[in-house]
Amino acid sequence: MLISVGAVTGLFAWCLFKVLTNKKGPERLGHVEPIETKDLDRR
Amino acid sequence: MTTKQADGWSSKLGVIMAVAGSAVGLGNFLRFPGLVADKETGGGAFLIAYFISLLLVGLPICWVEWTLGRFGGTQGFNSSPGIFHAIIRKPWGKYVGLLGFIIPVGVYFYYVVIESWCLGYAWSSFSGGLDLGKDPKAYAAAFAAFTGQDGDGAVLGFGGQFLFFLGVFFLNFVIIYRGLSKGIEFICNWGMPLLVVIALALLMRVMTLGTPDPAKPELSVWNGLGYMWNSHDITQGLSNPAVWLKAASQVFFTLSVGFGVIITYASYLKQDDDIVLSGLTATAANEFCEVGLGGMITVPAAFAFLGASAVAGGTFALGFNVLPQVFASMPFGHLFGGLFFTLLFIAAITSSLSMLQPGIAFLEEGLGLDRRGSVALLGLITAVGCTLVVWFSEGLKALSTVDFWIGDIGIFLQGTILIYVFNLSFGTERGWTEAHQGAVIRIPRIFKFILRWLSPAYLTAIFTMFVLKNVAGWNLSFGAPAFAPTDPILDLVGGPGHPASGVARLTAFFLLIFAAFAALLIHRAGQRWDAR
Repeated sequence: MLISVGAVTGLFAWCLFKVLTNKKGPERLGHVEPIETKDLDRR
Repeated sequence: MTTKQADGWSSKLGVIMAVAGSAVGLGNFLRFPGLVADKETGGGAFLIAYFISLLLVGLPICWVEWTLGRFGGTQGFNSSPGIFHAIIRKPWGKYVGLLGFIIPVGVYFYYVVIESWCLGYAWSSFSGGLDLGKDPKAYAAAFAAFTGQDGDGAVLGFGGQFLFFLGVFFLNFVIIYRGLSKGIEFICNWGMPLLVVIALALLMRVMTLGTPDPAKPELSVWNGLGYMWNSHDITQGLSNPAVWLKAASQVFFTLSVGFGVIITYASYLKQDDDIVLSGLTATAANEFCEVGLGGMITVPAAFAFLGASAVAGGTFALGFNVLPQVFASMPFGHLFGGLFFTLLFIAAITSSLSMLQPGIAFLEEGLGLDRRGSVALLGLITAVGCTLVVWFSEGLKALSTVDFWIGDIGIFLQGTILIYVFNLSFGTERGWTEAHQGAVIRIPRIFKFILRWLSPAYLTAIFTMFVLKNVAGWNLSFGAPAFAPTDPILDLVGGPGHPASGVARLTAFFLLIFAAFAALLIHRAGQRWDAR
């Protein structure tokens, strides 16, 4: 039990640490919100 | 001139939370503990087989799905039919993605119903309505009445479960309408941490239960943990095919691979977005919830109050019959019970949302529908499917029929297709290079061998065993094999002492019609893709 629970907890903690401390590239992905057509061409 | 911008994730953690949310479900907290606690196929042998299966099948196919999904996205496709169309590049290629549309939508037909049970039980528990005394039959009767198992059409009407179902059904579509980042990602970014916090609170409560009844010192949380996690006879267990079948199946189902979800979620990433660490993190999150939390809460609590006999029985029995009785026996049980079912509801809704997105993606890119149109059409399709499940509730026959043919057989088939497409159509070397585009960590080289040879062989063997056992009724004996029709087959064709079920036949017929309709839509989509 201790080995199983410890292994998955340790792996999860390590992964989270790597994700949160990764400095490679921008944190925000190349996402653009959909443009609603009714909001366009307002003059 | 108007332009529709592509939908997508707003952060790396967001996509990980979304995939983890898709994976973490009722099985983590109810099915897995029951499997570990099984006296014949559980214990240490099961866990060894489980972790080996995780390394040979779960994690590799997870990475495969992330890789193929991101590649499909770079080709302009977000749905399984579209992604396979881009990978296989043959006229029939898009039909390989048929299961990637049918499976998530088909599973949604019944999963959202179960999700509404969780919300209904959470409400009942918080309001004190789940304390039904000490008679187990009262809890079983209450569950049967709430879910309409006593007769078809029993739950319809503006009271009880049906209202919860309507609310949950519409809530899913309200969220999915908001898109990836404002809908799914937002819910998962809040829901998953909240799920873990609730689970930790319940874990603390369970671990401090001690011996609830001093007159029964053998019924303690510690003995419950021992009952569940004791090694049993490992050698004997590992030589039992049933152990491997159950372990590999659980790994497969718990990670949501072969569901058509991860491939769609990953398709919204850019080519230099990491998928190796992301896939590993989502898998680790699921395993933490399953082994670290689910494995420590439900069975020990049930054992401490009710003993070993309470632990036997399936997922629904443990979750909706046994545990309400457990919570009714503990101080502030209505609060902890309410928290438990709230946890199940969060786990369920983050999964059900993921089942809708592949359908939305296909309807948008395949038929050119906008968000409103795709939500409306998918809402109509799922409303028909859910009505079938909700109406034909006697014995949960419609639910179990869809669950078996779509949720079990379908997922195994799709997973097998994935690994073979990756190796044969896409190419293992190309896939390996593609997976490492933008990767933060490297996959250990041993996994290239595993992906190329071990995963396909292992998955094919497990799938074959699964079909032989659950369809052909094989007794899993190599020395003295025997076959007998199983319930899903008998439900369709009938047999001595087991007449065919009209509901099962109707449900199977509906699933065939649904599959044919999906194939027609894919044909239409292919014409559109070829024209652009």
